[in-house]
Amino acid sequence: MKTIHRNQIDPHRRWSPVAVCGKFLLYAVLIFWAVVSVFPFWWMLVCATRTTGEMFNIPLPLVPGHSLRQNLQGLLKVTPFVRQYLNSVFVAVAGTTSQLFLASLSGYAFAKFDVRGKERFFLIILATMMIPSQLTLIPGFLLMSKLHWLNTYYSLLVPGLVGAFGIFWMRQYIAEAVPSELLDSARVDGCHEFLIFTRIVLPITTPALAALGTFIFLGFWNDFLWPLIVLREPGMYTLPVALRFLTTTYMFDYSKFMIGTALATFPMVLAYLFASRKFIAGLTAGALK
Amino acid sequence: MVIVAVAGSSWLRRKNLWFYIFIAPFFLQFAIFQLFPMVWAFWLSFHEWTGIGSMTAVGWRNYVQAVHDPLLWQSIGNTLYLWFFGTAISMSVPFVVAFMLNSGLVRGKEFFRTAFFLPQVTSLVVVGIIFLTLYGKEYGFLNQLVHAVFGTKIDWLGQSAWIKPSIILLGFWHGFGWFTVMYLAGLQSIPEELYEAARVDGAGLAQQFLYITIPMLRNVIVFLFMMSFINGLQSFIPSFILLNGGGGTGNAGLTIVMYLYQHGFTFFNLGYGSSLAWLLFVLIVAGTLLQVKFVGLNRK
Repeated sequence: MKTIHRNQIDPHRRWSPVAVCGKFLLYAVLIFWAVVSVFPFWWMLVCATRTTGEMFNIPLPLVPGHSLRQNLQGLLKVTPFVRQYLNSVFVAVAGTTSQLFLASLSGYAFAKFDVRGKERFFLIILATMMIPSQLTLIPGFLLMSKLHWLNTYYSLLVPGLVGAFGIFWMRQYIAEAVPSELLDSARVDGCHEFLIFTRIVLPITTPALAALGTFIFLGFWNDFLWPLIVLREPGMYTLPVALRFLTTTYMFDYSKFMIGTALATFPMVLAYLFASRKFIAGLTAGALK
Repeated sequence: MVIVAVAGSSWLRRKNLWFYIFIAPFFLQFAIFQLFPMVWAFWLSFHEWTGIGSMTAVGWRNYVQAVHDPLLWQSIGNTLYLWFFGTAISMSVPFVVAFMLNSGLVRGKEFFRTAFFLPQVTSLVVVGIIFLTLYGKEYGFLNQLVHAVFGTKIDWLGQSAWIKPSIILLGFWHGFGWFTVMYLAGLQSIPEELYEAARVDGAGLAQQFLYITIPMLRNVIVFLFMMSFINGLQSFIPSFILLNGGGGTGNAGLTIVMYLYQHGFTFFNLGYGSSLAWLLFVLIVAGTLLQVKFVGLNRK
């Protein structure tokens, strides 16, 4: 696809040999870095399908091997990996659903309701995005302990049911995409506010929800520090914590944890490759606003 | 008329009620899980406590101790070092690459974009684990290359001089796609007419670059820089994974958050850890405010 907005260099000028060399060099650099960007994933695949012995042998193997099943069995013997995988899936799906719903609700309220002083509330929400999560780590942990939520799904989900960024994002979208006349006519017809939200607003916001959902889902899936602190038992670990636990327990026994790492990563990678534009849009869009 | 007015006002009041109901979840969550803990952390920072047993009130002692804590200063230095050099290469190289991709000189822009952004889809934990294997001294992949070219093997994670470059390299690899995509989007949003007008006026390539490209990218650059700072100060995962929970040889890879984690969750110095948390918060806010003042707020 040709770019419409180009920089000032006109590619249709006649090029001298020097320029052709330059272009070649440019491609070389770009292709080099594309390979560098992708190689660690390939390496993960190689490690995941080779025995540890093979990985500690010069020359190093460069293509995947035949030990996938063996490694997988080894992994399942030492850690409840399936359960950990399900933990991550559950937390990510539940958390994303909750955040999408509540962010749209609040975003809708800010976008379409004329309440005096609503800007003040919104500014507070924006301000909370400045608070680093590390500030509340220790007291958060103590709070979870007091609530007896340590090592449960509650500690992973409840503090994150609603996200400031999501509200910001949905407010922007709803303000632009939902025509107020539609809402007013529904109200005149006697429609209940909550029904207006679910029947009218939500369907219109599906593209924004998809983009935001990607972002939030990845956030839950990759969350590390908080689960590290509140989860105490391997059976409750989410994937990042489980993987880290494996690296410290099995240090150089790569075959044990690289297969786990690969399994945790490849769904995301595949989804990304299928819908890279949507992924990129979702993950960067909020920043561009 | 009166009936409509009365109906109108009660409808408005009901609408207001819905507004508050709809935004309540966030504020409830904020109050319980952010505000309250923040205050608690502040209060805790004036005490000494290990989580069990009794608490002792110690006034400002934790903060005074922090100021005189050489490890804390080292962690601050490490964090700023990692941030500074990481940002320097992460803001510059991707910019050049994005510029080249956008210039129409090369084809396959979509392909490169997809490839470069791939690392962003994985968690930093996974990246850390993969790089842990790549950085192995004897059998790590990187050292096979280094050995083939230079005949030696680098102790990436063991030698204190190499620890920071290792972490920076990881961060650069991981963030490259993010910066490139952001710059690309920014470059693409510059209208072609601006360049054409400049060309008509006789502006050369350098002038077009300096007076059109850079100013139009100002918002993107400022945003990337500020985000880089906020994230950089909170750096934790790469060091934590690569150095196995410790600071590495000579604590060369100890970041502020790692030090906080050690005090809070390894040694259970909850009071001291809380004071470190507040110090970090102040650092982030102060740094961000400085940048805002220096750069001026984004034009919307």
